[in-house]
Amino acid sequence: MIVICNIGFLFAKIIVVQLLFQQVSGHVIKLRWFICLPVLYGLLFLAIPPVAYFTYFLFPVIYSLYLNRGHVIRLSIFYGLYPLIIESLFSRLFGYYIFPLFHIPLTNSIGSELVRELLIFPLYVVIINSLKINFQKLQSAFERNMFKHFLLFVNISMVIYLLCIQILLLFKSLIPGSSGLYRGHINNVYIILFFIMLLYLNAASKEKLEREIIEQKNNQLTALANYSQQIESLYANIRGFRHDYINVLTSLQLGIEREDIDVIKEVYNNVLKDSGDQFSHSKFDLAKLANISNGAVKSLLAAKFREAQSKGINVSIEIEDIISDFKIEILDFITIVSILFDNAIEACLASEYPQIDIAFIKLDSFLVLIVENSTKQEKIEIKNIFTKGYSSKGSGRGIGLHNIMTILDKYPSASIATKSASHQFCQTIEFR
Amino acid sequence: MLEIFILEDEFIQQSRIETIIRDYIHKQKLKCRVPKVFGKPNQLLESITEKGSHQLFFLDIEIKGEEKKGLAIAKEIRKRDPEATIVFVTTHSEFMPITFKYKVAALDFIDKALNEKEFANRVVSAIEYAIEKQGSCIAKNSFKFETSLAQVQVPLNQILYFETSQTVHKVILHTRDERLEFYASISEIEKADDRLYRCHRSFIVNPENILKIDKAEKMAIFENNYGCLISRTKYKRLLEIMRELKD
Repeated sequence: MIVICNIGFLFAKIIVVQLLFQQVSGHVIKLRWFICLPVLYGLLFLAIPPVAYFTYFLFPVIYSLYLNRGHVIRLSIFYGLYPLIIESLFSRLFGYYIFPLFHIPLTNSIGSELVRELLIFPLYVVIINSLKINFQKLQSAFERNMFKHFLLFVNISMVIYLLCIQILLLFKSLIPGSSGLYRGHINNVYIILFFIMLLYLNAASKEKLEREIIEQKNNQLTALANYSQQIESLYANIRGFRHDYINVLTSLQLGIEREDIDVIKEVYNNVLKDSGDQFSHSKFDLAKLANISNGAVKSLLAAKFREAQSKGINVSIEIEDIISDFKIEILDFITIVSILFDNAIEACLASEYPQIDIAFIKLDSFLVLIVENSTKQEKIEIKNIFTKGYSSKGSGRGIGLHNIMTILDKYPSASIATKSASHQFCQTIEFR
Repeated sequence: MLEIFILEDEFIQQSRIETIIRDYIHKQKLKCRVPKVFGKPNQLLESITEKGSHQLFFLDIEIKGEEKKGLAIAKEIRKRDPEATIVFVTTHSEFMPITFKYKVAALDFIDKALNEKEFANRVVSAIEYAIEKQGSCIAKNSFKFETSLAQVQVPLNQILYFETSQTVHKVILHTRDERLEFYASISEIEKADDRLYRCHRSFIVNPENILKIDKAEKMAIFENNYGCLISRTKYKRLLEIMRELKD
C-alpha cells in the first residue's frame, strides 16, 4: 500500500510539473509523454536516486532551453523553473499549513502526500483564474522582449528559493531545532513575493500591449490620412490633364477641318506624344492599394511607399486581385512586410537606379508576397542572411530578417525564397 | 525548328511586330516557320499542336471583346506547355512584371510605346533567347518536390546542396543564386531524386556541382565559398560518385 502511494505520489508530481510547464510556456505536451515521462522518471529514481534528484530540477530548464533555442535564454529559464517553483510552493503550503489545520499528519501517513500532489493543480488553476492572470498575454509580452531585467530578477529569486529549501532539506539533521519551521517561513515569504511578481507582470504586460496597440492605431491613422491626401493630389493631376486634353482635341479638330496636316503633326508631337508618360509614373501605383482590404496593411504600404519615393526610389506595386485573406495573423504579416520594405529601401539606395517592386499575388490556396529591389553589388551573399546578428551591411544589423524567420517558425507551411543575381535582390514568401 | 505565335487584335501592331520578326528571320537566315498571327485567343489556342522549348509566344494582354485576357491565355499555354517562352507585348498601364513572371514564368514585357529601334531590339532578344533554349528540356533536368505544404521546382544544375533548417521540419535549399526554405524533411528530399546524394545526417549534395573535396576537413566545397560536411561513412561513396560523373 505504501509503495503504491509513493509511486502514485511520484507520478502525480511529474504530471503536475508537466501540466504547469504546458500552461506557462504555451507549449503543448503530447499526451503520451504524460505517461512515458513519469514512468521513465520512476525507473530512474529506483535505479540511481541522486541522479534522479538532480534530473528533476535540471530537466525542465534544459528541455525549455532546447525548445526555445535561439530565443531569449532568461525566458527559457523562467519557463523551466516556473513549474518547479509552483509545485514546491503549493505542496509546502499544503504540508505545513492547510493539512495541519484539518489535523492531517504531515508525513508518514499513507496517501497524504499523494492527496497533496493531486490538489496542487486544481488549487493553482483556481487561484490563477481568480487573480485573472492571462498567460497568453504574458507570453506575447515576453516574446516582444519586454521585462528583460525583471525576468532576470525573477529567475534569480527562484533559484535562491529552490537552493534555500533544498539545502535546509538536505542538511536538516545538522540544523538545531525544527528545520521544517524555517522552510515553512521561507515558503510563506516567497509565495507572497512570487504572486506579487506574477501580478505585476500580468498588469504591466497588459498595459504595455495595450499601449502598443494604441500607438499602432495612431500610426495607422496618420498613414491613412497621408494616403488620402496623396490620392487627392493624383486626382488633381488627372483633372488637370483632362482640361488640357479637351484643348488639344479642339486644336486637332481645327487642324482636321482645315485638312492641315502640319498643324495636326505639331499638336501631336508637342502635346500628345509624351502624354502617356505622365500616367506611367510610378506614383499612380498608389491607387493599386485599393485592392488591399485591410486598413492596417494598406496604411503601412502607403507610408512606406511615400517614404521610399521621398528618397528618390522608383517604387512599383502590383496587386492584381483584391486581397482580404492574409493567411497569417495580421500583426505578423505587417511586421514581415515592414521589415522587407525597410530592408529594400536601405539596400537599393546605394544602387545606381534605386528601384523597388512589390507584388501581392493571390493564388487558389495561397498568398505570395514578393519584394524585389536593385542592389549595388551584382550579387549579395545570401547564405547566412537569416542568421541572428548577421547582415550584409555590417554586424549587428541583421535583426530584421532573423525576426521574419522567428515569425515564420509559427507557420510551418510558409516557405521563403531569397534570390540575388544581376543587381537584383528578391524575397518571395508563400503563405498557405 | 523555332515556331513563333503572335496574339494581337490591332492590325497596325500586328504588322509592326510581324515585320520585325520576318526581317530578323530573313537577315539571320534562321530555320524558322513563318510567324502565326492571331487576333482572337481561341484561334491561337486551337492552333497549338506541339509543345516544347522551340515555341515562342508574343501576347497582348488586353484583347478587345474577349473575356479571356492575356494572362489567362498565358496560363492556358503554360498548362499545356511548361517549356514554351512567353513574352507580353502591351501598354505600360498593364505592366505587372513580377506577378506575371511568378504566375506564368513570362520572359519579358515589351512596351508598345517604345521607339521602333528599342522595340525591335527587345523582340529580337526574345527570339535569341528562345533559340538558345531550344532543345533543352526543363522537366527532365529539374528537381521537383511537391507536397500539400510545399512546391519546389529548380533546374538540377542550379542546385548546390540541401541542409536541415533550425526550424523543425524545414529544409533549406542552396542554389547558385537562391536560398529556399520550405516544409520538408531531409529524408523526403533524399527519396525525391536519386541524382542527389545524402552525404551527412543534415546535408544532401548535388555531386554535379561540387568543385572539390577538402580531405582534411571532410567538406564538400561549392562555388561562392559554400561548403558542407561529409560524414565518415559516406565519404568513400561520394568520391566514387564524383569519379563516375567525371568519366
